[in-house]
Amino acid sequence: MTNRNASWKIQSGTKPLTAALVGELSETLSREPLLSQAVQARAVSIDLGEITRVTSAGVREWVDLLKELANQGVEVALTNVSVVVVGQLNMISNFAFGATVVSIHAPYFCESCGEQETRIFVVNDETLSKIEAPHKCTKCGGALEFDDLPERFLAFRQIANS
Amino acid sequence: MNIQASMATHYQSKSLLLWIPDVLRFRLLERSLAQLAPITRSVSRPDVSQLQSFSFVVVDLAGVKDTDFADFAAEVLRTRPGCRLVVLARGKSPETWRHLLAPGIVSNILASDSPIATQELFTTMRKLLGADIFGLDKYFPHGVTKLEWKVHRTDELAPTLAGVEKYLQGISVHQRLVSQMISVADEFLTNALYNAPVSPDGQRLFHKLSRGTPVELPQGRTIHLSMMCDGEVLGLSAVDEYGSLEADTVVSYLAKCFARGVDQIDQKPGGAGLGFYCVFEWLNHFIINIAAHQRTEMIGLMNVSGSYKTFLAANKSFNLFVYGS
Repeated sequence: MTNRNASWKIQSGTKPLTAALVGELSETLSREPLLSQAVQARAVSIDLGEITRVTSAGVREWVDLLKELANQGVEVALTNVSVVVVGQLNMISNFAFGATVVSIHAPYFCESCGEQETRIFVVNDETLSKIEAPHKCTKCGGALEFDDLPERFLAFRQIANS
Repeated sequence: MNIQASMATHYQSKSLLLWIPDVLRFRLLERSLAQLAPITRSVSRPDVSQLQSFSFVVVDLAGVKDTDFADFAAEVLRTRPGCRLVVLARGKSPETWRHLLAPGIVSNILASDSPIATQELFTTMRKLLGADIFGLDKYFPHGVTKLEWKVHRTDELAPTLAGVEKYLQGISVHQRLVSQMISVADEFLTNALYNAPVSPDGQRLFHKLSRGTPVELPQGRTIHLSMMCDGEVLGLSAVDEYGSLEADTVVSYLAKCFARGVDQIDQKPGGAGLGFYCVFEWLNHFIINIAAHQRTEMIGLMNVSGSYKTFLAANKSFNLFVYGS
């Protein structure tokens, strides 16, 4: 897991271009595999569901990539954003840099068996109530509790709108 | 600079002034801190001329108006730079922290939404008064095992972090907290490798390099990483052998990042200027010990007793201890 290189998985020929970034987002983030194809497609959907860690140097590389895409007129949508990346969205004011956050992973914890799970939610006006709704543990059937503070976890929506 | 300059008059007096309006909170702290030094209480804003006999003022912000505290801190900064403020704060919002760090004189902030963290304040004041600031052991009961790693080069980072991860998974720490603690270790080690090393004439060796550029510490220098866990609290320490970090740098980076302005991410060569801020957010307690020109120790403590919510509910603090100038 401590491989410091995030890698791109790009599905060529789609509109918008579909891409996934996998691994640790660090200083080694490579822009080029994505940039030229995204500029051609004018829009890109980036799946961030498998980002496991983000370093402070990786934050700058990521924001620089989004800036570059914005400068080239590319519309960016972020999907299945991992819990780790949601944390960055809440800490760093321009982590999304104009991109639309379409869907996120939300963390849950089972008080009965200690299982940790995530569930995916579309980001809209109903997200807050949906993540707080009761869910069942897939391992023991016990009650899953949302494992963060809801308003805190979704604070990035205000940051993006401010 | 305020904090560094304050250390020049290092602990001339070991008396404490406690500006604590609430009598019950005062008695609680008096019982604890009176073991360390003579205590004087102030119910209202202390007269700065009164501070001649004190090196430390502990301020409990519960019951103190923000404006009163801001005026007091500014006056202390102007007239008594040798005096340091230790603040007990309520609330853990970025705005609270930005506000407290702004005056530049507060080096120790203990925040809680629950009752005062008496034990933590005791440890903090013992370190300040005794000038014995180094060591992860101070935060753990006697007998807790310490794991240690040594790092000299960039290519030793990944295996070291893998060792940390293996240990944390082995003791069943919540996966999200494992990820955060590995990130803390990464930031500590990266800082010690790229920012800490200086030449004999004090010039920084690697700080402008991209963090992707491999570096190796000069011959004979080592970064010491250690980790302890008592079941409830997990602690990590990284020590470099330079002591080149300046207190002002830390405080200004934190204040800048809490403000969340357009300058939150540095565009200069080298690091992104986010490391201290990210580390602070990932921990319950962030402690920096600096012995100028000798060594710097960064310590992170995290509550790993249960879920992520348990971690979020635990007290939060930032402590900066500087010894020598």
